[in-house]
Amino acid sequence: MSSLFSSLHVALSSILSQQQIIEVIDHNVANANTEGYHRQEAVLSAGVPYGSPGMYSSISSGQLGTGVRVELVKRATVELFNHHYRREMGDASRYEMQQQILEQVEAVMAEMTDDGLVSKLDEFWSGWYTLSSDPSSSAYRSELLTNAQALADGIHRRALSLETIRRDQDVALQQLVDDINDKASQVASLNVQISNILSVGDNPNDLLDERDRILESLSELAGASVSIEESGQALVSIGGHALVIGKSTFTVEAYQNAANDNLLSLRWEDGTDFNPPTGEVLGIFEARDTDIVAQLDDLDDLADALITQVNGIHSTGYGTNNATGLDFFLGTDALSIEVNSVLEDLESIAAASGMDQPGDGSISLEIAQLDGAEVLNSGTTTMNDFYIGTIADLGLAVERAERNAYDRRLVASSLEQQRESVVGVSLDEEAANLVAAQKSFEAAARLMTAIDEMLDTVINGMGVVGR
Amino acid sequence: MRITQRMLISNAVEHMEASMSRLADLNSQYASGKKIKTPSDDPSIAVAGLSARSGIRNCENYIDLASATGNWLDANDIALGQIVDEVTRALILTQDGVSDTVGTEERATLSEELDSILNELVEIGNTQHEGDYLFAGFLTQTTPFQLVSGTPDTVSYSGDAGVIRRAVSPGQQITINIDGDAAFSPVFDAVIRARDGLAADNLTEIQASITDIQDAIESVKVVRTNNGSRSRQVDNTMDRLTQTKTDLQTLLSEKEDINMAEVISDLQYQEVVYQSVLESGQIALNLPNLFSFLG
Repeated sequence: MSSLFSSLHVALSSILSQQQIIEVIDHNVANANTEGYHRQEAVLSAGVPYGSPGMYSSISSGQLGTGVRVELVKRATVELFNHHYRREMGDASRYEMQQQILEQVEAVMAEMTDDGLVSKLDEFWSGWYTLSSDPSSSAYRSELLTNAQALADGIHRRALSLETIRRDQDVALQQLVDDINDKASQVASLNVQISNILSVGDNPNDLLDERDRILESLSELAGASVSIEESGQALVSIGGHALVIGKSTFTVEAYQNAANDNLLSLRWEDGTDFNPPTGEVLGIFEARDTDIVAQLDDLDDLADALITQVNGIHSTGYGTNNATGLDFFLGTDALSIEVNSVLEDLESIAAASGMDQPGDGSISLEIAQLDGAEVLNSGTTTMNDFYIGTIADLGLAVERAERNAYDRRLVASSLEQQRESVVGVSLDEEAANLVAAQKSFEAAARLMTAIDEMLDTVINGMGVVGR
Repeated sequence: MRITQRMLISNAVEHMEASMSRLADLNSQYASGKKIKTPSDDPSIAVAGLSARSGIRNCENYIDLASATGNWLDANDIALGQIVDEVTRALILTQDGVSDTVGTEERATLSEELDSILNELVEIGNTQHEGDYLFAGFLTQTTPFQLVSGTPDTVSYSGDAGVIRRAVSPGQQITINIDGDAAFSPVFDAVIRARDGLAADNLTEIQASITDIQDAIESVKVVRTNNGSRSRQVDNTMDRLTQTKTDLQTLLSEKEDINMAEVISDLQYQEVVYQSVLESGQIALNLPNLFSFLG
């Protein structure tokens, strides 16, 4: 047998549940613009019914409902998208980082401006050509010397700037490492909280949002891959080495690598190499250790060819003061190249092929015609073309990084759209749900009034017959 | 597909960014007149541009060389012309001196005139071009000819036999100087002989010197013709180099320069696109939702 008081409880359960629904809607609307927020939904279920107790249960008509309750607050999620999305974001960050660094390199090389090295090379050859047309002119000699110094300085400055850009990445790497370690310990502590809450049967929705956000940024930093264990804890690994297992983390550290010009390299605390499959860290490594090194090597090759070829001819010639056997350039590579300071005595610049021949410009002509000599790439390329090739390589590398970053970002953004479509907050939907909950709340309140009136009838109206 | 307000907003922003970036690209092309700003904008254009620029520079180098060479050859020609003129005058004077009607005194006067011609000739032999002696071989800083008294007088040569060769185009070299000693010594010797013959009133010597002078004129004329043909070679080379340079400049412009009409119309079109993106974005951002209609 049911009682009026139990009916009162049914109405109350409805009022309380609708209130809870409205609270969840409130939370959704409040977080409609929160990055990484997953829509939540209060799932209702009917209360556990009971059959009337009695010797003959068939007297009563079936089981009676006990109202409604909020069974759980569900979080909309698409774990499948998350995996894919994290990988694409990792790649996008990697290429963006590479592009960013290489654009700095491109700016340093400044080849499309008047400050370009190709035009400096041309000026240098020009200086020799002009000198050959009037070998005794000290104005031409001085012009040549200025051009040569500008060229040597241009090569030196580029090599120096490239080294600086490489070294600057140490700061970025150190920051990334700190970030990774910091985020790893956040994930570990969230793991503990999440599994605690799950173990008592609750849903740690907002903590999961928080952890997903951190995992996403770990993927962007170093291409972390994630698997969620049954306990709800996230297992994070980077390049096959665990970063977070449950509540414990493994630290990444930066150290000066003697094998790589004392630049920072990364390793795990146990000493194994840190090999990120993608992410910003890999982007830095690729730009720093592959692309920039290739540019530096090319600059070195160019400087070496210039030094040996020009010196080889210059040292056989004679200056107007009969100085001979002098090197035109000093140094061995792009960083050390400079014009021999002895030549600041302009008469020592060798233009003639013999002593006492001020009108002879055959040596300067021979040097000038090095501009067409195929001396690089095992004798197949002129110095100008070699360097133009270097610039093309750099341009292609930047273009490739840019294109890759754009493509990956495009894929990631379309995945993001699909995910948002499932987990995002639609204000219309929330408004509709709000109206529905409000109406239910009103109905439950009305029910309670009706029961109240019934109780009134029973308590105040009954047993007073004829009074 | 379920659409949320955030999707609408991020879509609108994405489209605005894309449209804006295209607009910025076109704007920078329009402002600079160039298709690319950095090599990575289009590596193939960058390489073609850099190569063409180097080629143009190389052409300019050779054009400068050829023009300097041409100037030197022109200076040669002027000097040689003067020599021919002076020696021809000497020949006429000497021929006058052979005549029976000419007396000893008149011959002495003629001899003095020849002496001044001789000095002229030595001067011409010492012609400088931009600070360099034309006829001294490699020793362009040394005065090559000097009159030395003796019996007979001689003109000493302090230059050398150096052959100055200048490049005028890749693989083409031209000798620009004239061996002063070989070209001018017979001239000097012949004039000295005529002068001394006239002074000594020695008819046989005068007769002999006339032949010498005639031979000398011929040989100088040959030298001058050679010089002229070199000059023509240089002119031809110069024409060719200028043509190559123009071709390269056209190529460079084709590769690097924008088509103005195309870029302007693209730019205007993109401006319209951007405005419509803004308009549609405005609609998306201002869309009401159900909350706006609930009382």
